[in-house]
Amino acid sequence: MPRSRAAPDRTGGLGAIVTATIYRTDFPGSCRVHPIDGMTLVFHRPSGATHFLDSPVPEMLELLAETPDDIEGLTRRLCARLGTTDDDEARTVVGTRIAELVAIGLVQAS
Amino acid sequence: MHALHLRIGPIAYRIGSPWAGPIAALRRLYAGYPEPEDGLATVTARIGPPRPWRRWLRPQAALEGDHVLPDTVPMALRHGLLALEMTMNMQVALGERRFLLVHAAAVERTGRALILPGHSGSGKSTLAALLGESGWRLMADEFVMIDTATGLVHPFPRAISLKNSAISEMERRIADPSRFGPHLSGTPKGELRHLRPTAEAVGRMDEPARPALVLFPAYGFEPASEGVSRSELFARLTEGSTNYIALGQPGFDRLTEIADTVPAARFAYPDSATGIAIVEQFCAEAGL
Repeated sequence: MPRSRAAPDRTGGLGAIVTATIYRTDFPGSCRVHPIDGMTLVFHRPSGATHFLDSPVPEMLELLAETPDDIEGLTRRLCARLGTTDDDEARTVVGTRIAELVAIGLVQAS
Repeated sequence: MHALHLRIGPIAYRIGSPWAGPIAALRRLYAGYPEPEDGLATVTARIGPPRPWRRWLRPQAALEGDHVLPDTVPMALRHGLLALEMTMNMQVALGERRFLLVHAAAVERTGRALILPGHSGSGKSTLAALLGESGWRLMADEFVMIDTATGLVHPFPRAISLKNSAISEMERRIADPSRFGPHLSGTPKGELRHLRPTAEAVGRMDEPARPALVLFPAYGFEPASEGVSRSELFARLTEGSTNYIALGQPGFDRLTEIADTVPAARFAYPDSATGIAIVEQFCAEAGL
């Protein structure tokens, strides 16, 4: 499994090829998952922490559990699953949520 | 060292003090409680002078035992009974791993438990004390112990810590003065007096009960009530637990089960009579 892949060049062909960060997760294998009031309650065994997750975070974790991905790829797949527009705003949301998930240990960057 | 060995529900205490007075007061307060089974105490709770001269010179009692909190402020020896009660609480809060601890009072009727979580001042102790004198069995005043294997609430019928106006209210209702500890004034918690639970509550300290209803009281407001969602119930019970994080997955599994199956509500009340009426109405609706 490659640890990174070339991201699309968004600099009009002038920029160099950059290496995008790939994100992966041990969800749901190392977690207890419990639906509650439309949210997802997660007990993460490695950290011992409990998290309340609301959409689209559980869906993001499910997609990363299927296939590790970078922000671009994850945004594309998430928007396809949720039936929403794949645009810069979606990428911003995904990037922000991913940063939070990395911070709490539910997602690992490589 | 003066000592008292005492069993309260699943906790077998070894309690010690270099002063005779606090132990004598505790012995009177817990008259009728059993000794640890086979004489084996597993939890040590002590008070002692923070400096050697504080045993005699303006004596002070620091909270000691199996576990200590470094920032705990010593108390004047005249509040030695309260210091013993506090270190008994502290040892359980910091050391217990068999049961999930929820900061709450609990009472039982027909084998089903009403749990009353709440911060200091919410009125949970007063309500539990009143219910415990009127057809309910008091199971807990400070910590509700939930067995992570069975989900049952196990009694931990410590003395009830009555504060301020609740003292005179309970004194009017209970004829037996021997059930009360001494008046303690000027404590960090205000005016305080301990109350021993009924003989029935002490005698049935090994009988668990199934959680049936969770009510969050709020004293000092006009009567009002509303339901508490499952997610809020889970969040508030974990916030009010001293050992949820330490227990890991068993604690998570048990609290999600409670959140899924036990109805919960919050209510505000201006006085005890109104509070008891609201509790009984909720219980009737829950079939409890």
